[in-house]
Amino acid sequence: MNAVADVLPGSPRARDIVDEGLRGAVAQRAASVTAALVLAIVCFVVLVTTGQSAASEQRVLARVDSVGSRLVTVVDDSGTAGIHPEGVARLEQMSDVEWAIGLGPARDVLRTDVFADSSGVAARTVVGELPAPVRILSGRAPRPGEAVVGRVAARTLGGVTASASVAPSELLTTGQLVEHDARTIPVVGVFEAEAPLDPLDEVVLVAAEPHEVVPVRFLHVLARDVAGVERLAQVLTTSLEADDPTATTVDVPRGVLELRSVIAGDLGRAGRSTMLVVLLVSMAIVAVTTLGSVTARRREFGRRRALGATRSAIVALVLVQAGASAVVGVVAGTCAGLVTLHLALGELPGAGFSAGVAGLVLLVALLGSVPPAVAAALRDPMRILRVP
Amino acid sequence: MTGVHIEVTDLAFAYRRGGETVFDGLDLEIRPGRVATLTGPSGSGKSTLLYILALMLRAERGRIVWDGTAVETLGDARRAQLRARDVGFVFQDALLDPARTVLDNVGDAGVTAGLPRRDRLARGRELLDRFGVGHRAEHRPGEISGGQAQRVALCRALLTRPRVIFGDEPTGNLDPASAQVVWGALRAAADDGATVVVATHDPALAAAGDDRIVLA
Repeated sequence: MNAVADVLPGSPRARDIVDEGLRGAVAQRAASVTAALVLAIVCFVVLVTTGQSAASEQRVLARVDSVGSRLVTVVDDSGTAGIHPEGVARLEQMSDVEWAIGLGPARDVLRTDVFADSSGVAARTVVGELPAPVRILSGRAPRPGEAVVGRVAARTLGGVTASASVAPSELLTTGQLVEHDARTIPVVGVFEAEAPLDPLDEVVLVAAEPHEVVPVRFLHVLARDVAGVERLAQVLTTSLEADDPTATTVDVPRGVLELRSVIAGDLGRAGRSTMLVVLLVSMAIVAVTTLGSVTARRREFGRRRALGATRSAIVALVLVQAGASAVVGVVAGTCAGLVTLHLALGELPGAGFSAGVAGLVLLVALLGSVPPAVAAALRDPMRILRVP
Repeated sequence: MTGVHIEVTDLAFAYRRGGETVFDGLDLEIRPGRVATLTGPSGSGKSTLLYILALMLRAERGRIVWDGTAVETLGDARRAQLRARDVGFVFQDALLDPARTVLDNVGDAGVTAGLPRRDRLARGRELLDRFGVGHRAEHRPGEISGGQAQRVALCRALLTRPRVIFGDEPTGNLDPASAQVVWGALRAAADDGATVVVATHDPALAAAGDDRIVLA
């Protein structure tokens, strides 16, 4: 056996197939540009139609979620349930829970420096760390026994207008409040509560003292995601740490969840239908374009087969060529679609959605190229070569 | 180099199943290190027999043995592998890719055989120089003459130093000088141990072979 043949595998190297495929894509400019153009248009159309729906869905769902679709609240209406304050910390450890706070019963407090003229506001003892929606505007977070005042409550206590809200903030962070029983509470900050805890803006929150037994009346628990809400509600219903769990009610925002589901379903369904039609049409166009290309190159494939190319090598060659055109088209179409969306709507679908569309179109291009590639590989090389 | 010892028994072929046979009951033996010429009138099946022997076409019936191994029943992938590694074929019309350079066309045989690019380019240039078309390496097939194209096809057939070389009227369209170059190369390959089978209409060429196969 000769020296060269001894070391030859007798089948093309993967690198050579890629190289030959890319050369083929360049050589078959018309077919490659057509395929790239078709896929660029597909990407563009999918992004500006379905992408717009996805961006809208994302925005609407974000708003729905922000107003409390994930908030589960346990209420001790009668004050007899005896919810254990130490259970709040344990709830925070659950994987489904983003944060949890307990609130004690409301009692009125007044400002000590303007006692006679001051309006009273409700104060509640808070068990647990202040959650993210409670943002400190001035001052600092309270230590045990200290208070922070909600933005609206601060105005009420200061008796000033909203435009002068800085003044009471400054005053209150250095001031004190007094309860009806004459107990004074140092105020260390003013906060603003965002949804879903925005009602707390009207309240003074007093951090619980160590070992203080707070009769928790409201237990607010935020699930990490919407999917965990029902699971969390089930846990709070069956395993709440309380003297009498049956005396509590668990509020789940079912209406909001249903609305969310309807929004996601309707917007998503419309987008998916459009995308499916566009992708199917594009697959057919890619298949026809590739079939035209391989038919025009039947002598080339016949020659390659005669020289020893396997059928799988021919299939791989066609797919590499189709893939190269597809990558160019998908990148161009995606960029054009995203720029158009940004300019027209000022918003973009998520990166995952854009990458998903690009991947899906690429997959469609490759799938659409498989039948022509197989047809090219199955042709009898001799019957091709004997035809002038 | 050791060529391939080819034995053919009771070979039959028809282009349409159940149709008229091109040949039927053909028995022959082709030995390594020799040039076998294949002659016969047009339509007698010379090219068809070459394609069958070169594993490009399957016979309707019969047995083809390469060095003791029956190859007519091998799967397509294995036959393709043998073609790529052990077979060189000089087609009647050169069969070059018009979109690629002469050097790339020569290298095509190395691509299917798995010869690394550097090696196939080096060997391709060496062969093109040897057969007097090295200066055309970067040209397209449309820019060279028919005689040069056939020499390029010969270079492609020799690129992987195949054990068996088939030529289908390899000198049919050539001027005497080019025909002599091609024939000399095939003779040299046989002298080097390869098996060479050439289909030809040229009585002088047929007579110059070591063994002669005549199809009726």
